[in-house]
Amino acid sequence: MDLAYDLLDSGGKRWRPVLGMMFADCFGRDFKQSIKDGDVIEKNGDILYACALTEIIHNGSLMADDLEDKSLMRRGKPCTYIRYGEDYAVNTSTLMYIAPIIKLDTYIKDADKKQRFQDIYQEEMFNIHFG
Amino acid sequence: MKSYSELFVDSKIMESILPRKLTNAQELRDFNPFLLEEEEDYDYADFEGINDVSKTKLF
Repeated sequence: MDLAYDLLDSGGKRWRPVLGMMFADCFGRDFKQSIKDGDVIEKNGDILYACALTEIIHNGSLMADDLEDKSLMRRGKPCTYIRYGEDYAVNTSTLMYIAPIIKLDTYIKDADKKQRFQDIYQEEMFNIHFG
Repeated sequence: MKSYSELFVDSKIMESILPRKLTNAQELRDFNPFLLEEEEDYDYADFEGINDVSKTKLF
C-alpha cells in the first residue's frame, strides 16, 4: 500500500473527486456538516466512494502508463517503476484497479445502483485499455 | 476547488477503501475477504511482512 499512497499523496489536484463532490453538492449533499459530525461515510459514503474510486483508478493508470511509456518523472519525482522496480509498479497499479471495486457492497446498498455502477466500471475499464 | 479537495482528504474515504497499513486480522479481512480460506487464518497473518514488502526502494 505504501507504493499506492506514494503516488496518491504526491500532489495531484484531485480533479475527479472534486468534480464528483461539486455535482453532489449541487444535488443537495452536505459534505461539510457530515464531516464535522464525523458521519460522512454513513451519510455520503456512496458519493465519496465513487469519487475515491475514480481517483485511485486514475492514479493506478498513471503508474501503468509511466511504465508503458518509460516515463522518467511523475509529479516531480522519479516514476514508481524506477524507484521500486517494474514488478512492484505492475502489481500496485493492478491492485489500484481492483481493490476499490471489491468495496462496492460496503458503500452502494441499492441493487439497481450497484448493477449500474458495476456496468459503468466495466465499460470504462475496457475503454481506458482499448488501444 | 481547494476546499472540496480538503474535504475529500479529510473524509478519509481513500484510506477506508485502500488502507495505508494492515495491522490486525479484522483490517486484513475487511480489505481482502478472499485471501484466506479459514477465518482463523487471518489471525496468523504476517502483518509485518504485508506492510514492509513495499519498502524495497531502488532509488
